[in-house]
Amino acid sequence: MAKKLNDLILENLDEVVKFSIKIRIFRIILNAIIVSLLFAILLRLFAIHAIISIFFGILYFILSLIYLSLRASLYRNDAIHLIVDRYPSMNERLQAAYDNIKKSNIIVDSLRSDVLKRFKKMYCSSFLDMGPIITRVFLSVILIFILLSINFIHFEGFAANSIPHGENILGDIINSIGFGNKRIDNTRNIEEFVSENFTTRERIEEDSIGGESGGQLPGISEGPIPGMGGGVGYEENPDIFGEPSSARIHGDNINMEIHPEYGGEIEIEDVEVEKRKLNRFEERLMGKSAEIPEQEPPEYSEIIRKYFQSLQNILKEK
Amino acid sequence: MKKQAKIGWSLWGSAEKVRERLMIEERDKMIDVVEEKTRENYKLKDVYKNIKGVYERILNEMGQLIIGQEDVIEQILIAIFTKNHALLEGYPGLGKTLMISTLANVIDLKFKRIQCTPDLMPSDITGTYVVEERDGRKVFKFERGPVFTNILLADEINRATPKTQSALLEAMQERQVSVGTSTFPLDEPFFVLATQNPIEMEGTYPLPEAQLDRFLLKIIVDYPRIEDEERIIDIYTSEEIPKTRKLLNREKLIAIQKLTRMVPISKEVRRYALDIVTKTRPIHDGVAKKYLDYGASPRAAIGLVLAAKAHALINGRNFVSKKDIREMAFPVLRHRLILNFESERKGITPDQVISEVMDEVE
Repeated sequence: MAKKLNDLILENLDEVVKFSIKIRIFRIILNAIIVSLLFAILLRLFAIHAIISIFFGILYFILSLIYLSLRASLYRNDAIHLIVDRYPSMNERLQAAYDNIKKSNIIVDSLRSDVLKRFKKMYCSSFLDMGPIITRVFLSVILIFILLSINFIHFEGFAANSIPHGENILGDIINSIGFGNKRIDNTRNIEEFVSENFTTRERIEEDSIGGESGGQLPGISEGPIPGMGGGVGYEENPDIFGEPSSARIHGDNINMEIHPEYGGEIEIEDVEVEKRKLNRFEERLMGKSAEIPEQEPPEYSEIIRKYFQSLQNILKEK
Repeated sequence: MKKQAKIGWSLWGSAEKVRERLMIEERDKMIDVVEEKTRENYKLKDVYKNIKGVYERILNEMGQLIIGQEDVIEQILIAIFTKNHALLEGYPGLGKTLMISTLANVIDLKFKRIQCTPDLMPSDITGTYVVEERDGRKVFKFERGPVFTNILLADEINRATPKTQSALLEAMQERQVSVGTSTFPLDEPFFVLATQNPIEMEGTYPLPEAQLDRFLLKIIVDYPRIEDEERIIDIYTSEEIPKTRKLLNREKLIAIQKLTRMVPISKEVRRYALDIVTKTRPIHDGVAKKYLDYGASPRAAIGLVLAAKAHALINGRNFVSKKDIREMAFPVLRHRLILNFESERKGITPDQVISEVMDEVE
């Protein structure tokens, strides 16, 4: 009789143990996914292949399983704690029955019967703690979203930021190359490039607003209407032109001085939006096809070579 | 030759018969043992089924004469169910003696009372040899003292001399009395319920700590509530004082004593009891070091678990809970703690220390 009751209690406990192991394995899987995602994000931020993160997840899973198997001897105690946690009325009762499993007398037998009766009122689903599982699933979804966002915006990684980006570093490089006009010095009988000191930004500006209409400085000294020419303002006395205004061209803010007598209805219109879009598309294509030597104009090959040499030197110094 | 064979056969046959008879006797003995055990089990089962009811009936029966002292009655019963002794302390006139004599009436046991005084001798308790004339010859005969009973009430035990106290306490511990060269076992069950009052300390011999340790419980009898006292006055000033019935016989009591030890306790609860006892020892920092000179002994730990088992049993539980331990910690430990000078000076009581120790354990 006592043996039968004992066996029944142990059977019930083992059932709870099995269920709790399943829950633990499920949690370990979720944890492994979270670990993988975290590592994937970290690796992606440093521009390293995110596929490596799977190994971290697998490693976590294996280590957790080893730890789980090492604790096998404590499973029944864990199950008792789990039951007591969910069913406080079983506290002490179940522990007393389990601790005195080898004893047999009237009172211990009645305790076992009591415990078995209470076991019948238990449901395995009550041991499922949804809180941590929901938290883990939610965390996984957020991490997946972050990872997808990083991939979507083509984040090049923190490593990319290690490329020197001073205030005018590209301009310096270009100046050092001697990007300008070729000058022939007859006295020394040599040919050399006379570099113009300009920044990358100025260069873009120069390209964007043409000075073909007679202004002293392209963009600033242009006439009231782009293309009409005859800009009045000149750099010698800029204060008389009132408050500086700015225009945004190619994504850069450019300070402009606008004569008050022209009225406030000056509209700067980028008339070449469509064209630029096409250019950008072409540039992108060219970026791919630039490796084909035939597309490089032969007169720029020296400049390009010097540009990359200088860039390499600066990177080395940094 | 034939004759020899015949004798041999007859010898072999008789040996077989002897063997058969022995086997039958052996089998009968085993059957007797099994039957006895089965009968005992049935008796135990029967008692166990009704244990809570029996306890409640005893309380009700005693409640006719003893008003508002349910806790004290419970603790006395716990001492009896655990085969131990109890010391009752309280001011005079609180009904200590009445309580014990009423209990002795309710439980169908032999009851004797000793009024302890400084001139009480050990032989007055244990008994002595007296000269008796038998068949014209004078012989020594052992005249048994009042200790040969089931329930012994030692009233105002602290008024007896240490020598007499020792004789009584030896009987309590060994459950036997040695007089001269002879040893006389005491009747089973045997309980000593001693009383003492905390005042009138002049001319008293306080029990030494080692002897106090032999009492499982020190039960404090306090003043009853006003409404209880009104009922006491009504009962004891009426024309007829109610009489109690016998509810528990010796056999049932022994069965309850057996059942008490069968109550299972979990390791966690046992550890909890042990933690409480060990925390009373001023060897570690904490409450004990602050208030105590000496803490409780391992005997106290045994007593605490045993008392908790009895408490669980009479409350109808088939396992010991922490609640049982907490409730029994006070009567089990209070006489086993020796307060230090600082605590005595501040008027701290052992119960306060026990309470703090339990808080510390939790």
